[in-house]
Amino acid sequence: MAGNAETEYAAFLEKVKRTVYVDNLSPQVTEHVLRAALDQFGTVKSIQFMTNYIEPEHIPKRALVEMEDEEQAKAIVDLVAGCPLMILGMPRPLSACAAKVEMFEDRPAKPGRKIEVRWLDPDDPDFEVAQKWKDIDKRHAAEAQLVLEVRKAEEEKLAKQQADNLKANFAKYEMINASMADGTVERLARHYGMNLRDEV
Amino acid sequence: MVETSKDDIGFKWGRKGRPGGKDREAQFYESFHFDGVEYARYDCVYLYKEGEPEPFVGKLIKIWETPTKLRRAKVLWFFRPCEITNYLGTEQLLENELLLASGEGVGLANVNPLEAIAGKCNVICTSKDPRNLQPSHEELQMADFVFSRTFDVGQRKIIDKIDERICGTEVKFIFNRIGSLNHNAVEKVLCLDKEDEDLGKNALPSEAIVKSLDDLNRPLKKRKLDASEILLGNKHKNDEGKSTDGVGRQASIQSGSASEKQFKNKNLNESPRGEKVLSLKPEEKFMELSCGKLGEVSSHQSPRKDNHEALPVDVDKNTWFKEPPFEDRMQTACEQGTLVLLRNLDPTYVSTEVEDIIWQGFREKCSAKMLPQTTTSSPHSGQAFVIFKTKEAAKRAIKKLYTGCLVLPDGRPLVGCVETPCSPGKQSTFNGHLVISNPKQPQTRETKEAVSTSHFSQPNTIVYDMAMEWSLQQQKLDFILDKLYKKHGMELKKVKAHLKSK
Repeated sequence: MAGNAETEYAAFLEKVKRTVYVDNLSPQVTEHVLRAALDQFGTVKSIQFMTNYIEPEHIPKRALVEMEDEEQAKAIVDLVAGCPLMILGMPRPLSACAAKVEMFEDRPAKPGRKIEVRWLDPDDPDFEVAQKWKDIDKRHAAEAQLVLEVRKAEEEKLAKQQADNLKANFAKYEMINASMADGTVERLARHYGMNLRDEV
Repeated sequence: MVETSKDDIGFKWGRKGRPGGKDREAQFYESFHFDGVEYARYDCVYLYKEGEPEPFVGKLIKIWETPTKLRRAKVLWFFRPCEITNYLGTEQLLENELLLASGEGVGLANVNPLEAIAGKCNVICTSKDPRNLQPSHEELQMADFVFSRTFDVGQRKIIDKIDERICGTEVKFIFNRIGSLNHNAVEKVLCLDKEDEDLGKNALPSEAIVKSLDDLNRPLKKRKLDASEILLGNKHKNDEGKSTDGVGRQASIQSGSASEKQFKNKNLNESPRGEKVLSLKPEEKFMELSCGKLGEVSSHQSPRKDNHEALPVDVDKNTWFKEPPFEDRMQTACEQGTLVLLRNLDPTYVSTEVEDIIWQGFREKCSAKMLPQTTTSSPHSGQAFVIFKTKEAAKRAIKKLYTGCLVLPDGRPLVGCVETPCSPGKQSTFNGHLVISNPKQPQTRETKEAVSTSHFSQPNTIVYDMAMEWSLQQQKLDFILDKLYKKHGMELKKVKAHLKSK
């Protein structure tokens, strides 16, 4: 029985090694789309989208993608780090890194581990330390929360900035197109004695 | 959602029903299979609810699958006499008699997940209405329950006649129908077949006590049958019926139940009734107590089944369906205040280990979910959502974690707090994917139906530049977070150094 659990755990660790954690996915990305995208670099064995239990809703979709072997997984991580890969939208690229054991929601328990907890006696010298630790943990959680909020704000800012740029650029091209079409450009060219044609 | 359909071994939809009702998106079904048992529309089933010693009995009046692949059934309720003690008055009910809900109001019917169904229940209509297929004597014995009257949930009184239409269901589906009786009877015999082994072992009273305690750990359906068996055993006419039965199998059942009865009688002679029940069946005692209490305290105003919808279904007890996703249960738990977020766990723990920790620390059974780590979550403090059985237990746990210190093996204290989980549902906004909207060029059919793909952007495009901006920012933010967590790590190290023990 114990041996069984151990082999199972070992198999799970192997699976972790060939799995890639993919972040910054658009919510529209489905298993099919992601599979099609990553199948270019190897064989996708399974895809598991991560459930977001606690973080605010704005966070992008994340997935654990199991590849056929470790090399393929590594290749994807390197490739994505090198060039921006985009799925279902531009320009925000996805990011990828090697998956970790703790990212798997349905991971098996580490075999042979027995967790024993105890209530500290208030007279225990450690009691105060533990209380302090709890406070620290609370502060840490709040700090992390804040950083994540800043992160979100930054992302929004960048998205907005890019959107504005894009709109401005688009308007510019539209204007050029329009002035080409209604003959304004040619009139101006004649006026200034410029040759608009490409031929020499 | 994909997994629900994939992972259910032995679950199969049966005949499709006609679309209808308010929800056009839903797919209605006339039947479904589970584990070789076919459940059809208008079958009676047991439904188990957490905290209830006895399962509810209801009739499936609609079965469907929602567009999000959730399996649902509309259940028209039967009341056990003890559920409506307040309104019984002087009415005399048979021991295995149920009352069908009727009228309008709370407690008539509810929509439940199909997963709440714990097993098939053989309920026979004994109404003398000519349209009702009269059950034979044998069939009556086989029945788990019988009914001939209804309980109007609006007027809160018992009505002797069955209405033409109850909760939109025609009366012909409520009466016994051709096929329904035989089918049920066969099923029942099969179940009894299993039963007689158990009963056979019961010859010795001492063993019987042990067994009745064991009962608590046994699967629900079987336990239920035991109870009804005893009810039947108590009834005079059924005993007669059994003894006239010549079939070998029946005979063995009879000997089984006879020994059970003997034992009961013995006990009855020796001790008052209350003790008898206690020694026989702890859970029955519990039911009686709770019913008695309900009868006295008049707070039992409306039939309580209405809670059904809101309360999560106890899934530990019926393992043969896949439990509803933790996400769903988490939402309901949050509304009911039974949800607690545990922090400062070792991130390597898994859900079952967290459940074990709660058991060790609070002696409370719970359902836990270790939250998966992501690149943005703290590597020092693991988080887990825990659903307690009651709101009080959840409150107690939070308070105790606040005032006391429950330390894990490495000396870290557990932190508990109330936290609202993020609401499920599709997120719609995603920063960073831009669309050029051109008012002059309305979206053509082609662009709408274009197959979306993935691509690496070329370095000579605007998109590449923008993507680089994103990558840069991403790395900057990751760096900040990394720094923060490193600092946290240092602080924790310092605190740990102060620990005396270890």
